[in-house]
Amino acid sequence: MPEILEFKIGKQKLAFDVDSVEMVIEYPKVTPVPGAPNFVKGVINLRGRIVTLVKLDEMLDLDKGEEEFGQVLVLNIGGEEVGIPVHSVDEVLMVDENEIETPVSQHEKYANKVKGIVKKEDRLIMYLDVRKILNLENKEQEG
Amino acid sequence: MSEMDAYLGVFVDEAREHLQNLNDSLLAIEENPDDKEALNEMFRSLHTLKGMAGTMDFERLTKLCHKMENFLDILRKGEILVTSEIVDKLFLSVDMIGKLIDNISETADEGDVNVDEMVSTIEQMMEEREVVEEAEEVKEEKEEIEETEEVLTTLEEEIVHVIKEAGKQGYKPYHLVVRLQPETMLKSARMYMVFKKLEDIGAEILKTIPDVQSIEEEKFDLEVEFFLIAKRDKSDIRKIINTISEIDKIIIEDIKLGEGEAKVKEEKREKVETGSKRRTRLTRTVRVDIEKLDTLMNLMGELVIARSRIVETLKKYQIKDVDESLAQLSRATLDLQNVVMKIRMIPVSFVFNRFPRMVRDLSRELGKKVNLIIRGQETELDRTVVDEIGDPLVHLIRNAIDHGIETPNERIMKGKPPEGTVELTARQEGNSVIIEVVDDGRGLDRMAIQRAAIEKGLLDESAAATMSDEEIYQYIFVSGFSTKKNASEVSGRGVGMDVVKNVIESLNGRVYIQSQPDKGTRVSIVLPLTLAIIQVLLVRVAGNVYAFPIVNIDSAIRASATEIKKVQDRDVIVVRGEIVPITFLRRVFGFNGVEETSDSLNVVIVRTRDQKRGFVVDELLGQEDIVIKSLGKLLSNIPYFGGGAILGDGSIALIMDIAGIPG
Repeated sequence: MPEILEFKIGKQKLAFDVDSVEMVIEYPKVTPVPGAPNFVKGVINLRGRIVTLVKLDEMLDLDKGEEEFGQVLVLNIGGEEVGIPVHSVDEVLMVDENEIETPVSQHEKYANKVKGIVKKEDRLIMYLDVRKILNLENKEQEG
Repeated sequence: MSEMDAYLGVFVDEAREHLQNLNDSLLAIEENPDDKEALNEMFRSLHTLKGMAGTMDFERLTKLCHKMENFLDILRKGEILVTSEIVDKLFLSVDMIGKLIDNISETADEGDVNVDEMVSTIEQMMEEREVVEEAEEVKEEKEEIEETEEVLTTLEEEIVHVIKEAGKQGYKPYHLVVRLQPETMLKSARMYMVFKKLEDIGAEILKTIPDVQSIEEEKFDLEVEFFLIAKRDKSDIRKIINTISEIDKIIIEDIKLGEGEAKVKEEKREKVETGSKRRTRLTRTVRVDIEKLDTLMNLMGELVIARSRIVETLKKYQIKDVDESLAQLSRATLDLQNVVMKIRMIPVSFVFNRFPRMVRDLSRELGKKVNLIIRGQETELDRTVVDEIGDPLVHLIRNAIDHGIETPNERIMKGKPPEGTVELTARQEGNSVIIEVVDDGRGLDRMAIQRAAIEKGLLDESAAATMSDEEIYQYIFVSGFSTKKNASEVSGRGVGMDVVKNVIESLNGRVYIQSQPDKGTRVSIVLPLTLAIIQVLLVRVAGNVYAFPIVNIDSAIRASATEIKKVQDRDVIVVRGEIVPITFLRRVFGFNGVEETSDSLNVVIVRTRDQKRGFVVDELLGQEDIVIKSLGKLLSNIPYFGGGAILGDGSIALIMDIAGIPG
C-alpha cells in the first residue's frame, strides 16, 4: 500500500510517494540561474548545499493561480536533491492500489509522469511519478 | 581470516608499486639488455613480491614470482643472454602478475588465472642454460642458538599464577623469541602467522613484548618475545614456527618459576639495535584513506565560509580589539587551507607511469616506431584530478600514435626520422597545471574535419570558410565525430575525444588543439591546481552576486559610456591600446533595466586563451575565497555557470564559466 504526501499547486491536488520527500521548508530566497532550462526556478541554499528549484506547474502545465508559493518540498532522488515550490502541504495518505485509477488522458505533458488518479472521499489527487518527472539523465540532455 | 583482510589493502598497494617497478625495469631492459641495474631491480622486486604473496598465502602469485625470480637471477648473472623473445615472455608474465593483483584487489582471491603454463614457459627458457643449478634456494638453518647471558625478567603476578595453574594440567611455560629477516615485508602479518601457528597447536600466549597492539601497528623492529604455555615440547614449537618463511631466528627457553618470579634466559638486546639502524631508510609516510581527506577538505570549506561570515558580520561594528585576532584567524585558516590542499596533491607520475608500457605495446601492435618522452612527472595535482585524467590521457596518447604518427616507411618518404616522437609533459603555471600531448606525426586534416562536420550538418560551408583552424579542430570533440575511414582496434571509433573534453571540463579544465600538417599535433589540457577552493572576484548584476575566478581576470576598470564603440555590430572598448569586445551581463542574463551607474560602467576584463573580453557589471564587491559547490545534475549542462558557492551571508554566488558566455 503506497503512502503518499498530498500537496497543492493552485487548486490542483497532487501527491508524491512519501519516501521520496526529504523535508518541507518555508519558501526561501531563490537565486535565479540565467540560461537554465525554463522549468528551473533557480537555486537555493539548503543548509550549505545548493539545491535546484523546479517549477512543477511549468512542467505539467498547471494553473498555479495568483497566490505566492508558501513552501518547498525537498525531494531526494538517489542522493540528488531537488526542490518543488508548492502552495500547501496537506497530509500523508495511505492509498490502496484499487483506489488508484490509471489516467485516461494521454496528454503529452502527463504521459508517463502520472502514476494514476487517487480518489479519496470527494477529492481527486494526481499521483505523480517522481523519477519520471525528474528523470535526471534525460534532463541532462534537454538542458 | 578477517585479520588478514586488514593487510590486504596494504598488500595490494605495495604489490602495485612493485608491479610498476617491474614494468619500468623491463622497459629499461628492453631498451638495453645489458642493463645490470634494471635486471637487479627487477630481481629485487620479484623477491619482495614473492615474500609478500607468501605471507598472504597467495600460492599462484608466489609460485610465479618465485620462478621469475630464479630466471632473473640467471639473467643477471649473464648465464643466458637477454633476447627480445625473453623480454616479451617477461612482459606477459608481468601482466599475469598484474591480473593476479587485480583479482586479489577486487575479490581477495587470485581468481581464475592459471600460472602453470607461464611457469613451464619460464622453466623451458631456463633450460637453455647448460649448467643446472642444484638446490635453488637452500633453506637457511635457523637452528643455531647463540650463547646467551642469563637475564632476569619479572613477570606479572597474574601471569605467574596462570603458569602455575596451567602447569597442573600439563602445560609447560616457554619464553620464545622470534626474529624476522631484516628485509621482511609486512612484518606484522608475519608475526600474525606466528600467533596463528601457536594457537593452532593449542598454545596460549600470555604476554608479548611489545604488546599485541604494537605488533599490529608494526611498532617493533624485528624481534618479538612471547610468553606462552603449551603442551608440546620445545622442538615441536620450533619446528612449527620454522615453517613460516622469512624468519631469521627462533630462540625458545623454558620459563623457570622462582619465588613468585620467572627467570628467563634472554638474549642481549644489542643485536636488535644494530638491526634497527639498517631499516632507517624507510620514508616517514602515512597512508590515508582519500575519503578522510575529502572530509577534511569539506570541513576546511565550512571553516572558510564561517570565517568569511564572521568577518562580514564584524565589519559592521568596526571593533578594533577583534581586528588583530581576526587577522590571525584569517592567516591560520589560509595556512591550514594550503596544508590541506598540499596533502591532497600527488605527482602526476601516478598516471604517467603507465604510459611507457602502453606506448610500447601499442606501437608494436600498429607496426610503428614511437619514442615516448615524459617530462614534468613530478608536477603535483589534486588527487581527484589525477585519478580522473588517466582515461583522457590514454585517449590522447592512443590518438597520437594511431592517427598521428605515421608508419616508418611513410615517415621516411616524408623525410622524417622513422621513429616518431610523442611527448607527454606536465608543468605548473600559476594556479593551473598544463598537461600536453605532442606528437610529430601527420597533423590534423583541417579539410577532412571540415567536410565531416558539414556532412553531419554541424557546420555550413560559408561559415566554415571564415573559421580558424583551431575553431575547426574543436569539432573533433563533438560526440560521435570521426574522420577515420576504417575504425582501427585502437581508436577512431568516433568515441574518445568527446569523452576527453567532458572529463576535462568536469574538472573545470580546458582542452586546446594546435596542429600543423606533417609537423604534428599538440593537445594542451589546462587544469586548475585544486578543485575545491578558489579565489574569485565577486560582482553584482541586477541584485544577484556572481563570481569570476581570479585566474581569468586581467583587470577591472571603470569606463564612461561614451568609451564604448560599435565595431561590426559588436560593442568594444579600447583598453591600453587594445580593442576588447565587451558583453553586458544584464542583457545576456535577460535582466531588464540598465546598469546602475550608467554613465560610468564597471567592466571586468578577463583573459581567455586567445583574447581579452570585457563584462559590464553593476558593481564590484571584492575578492574572496570560495568553496566551489556543484549545482546538481539538473544544471550540470547550463551554459554560463560552472558551479556555485555559498557566501558569508548565506546567499548563493554563481561561478562564471566565461567560455560559455556568448560574445
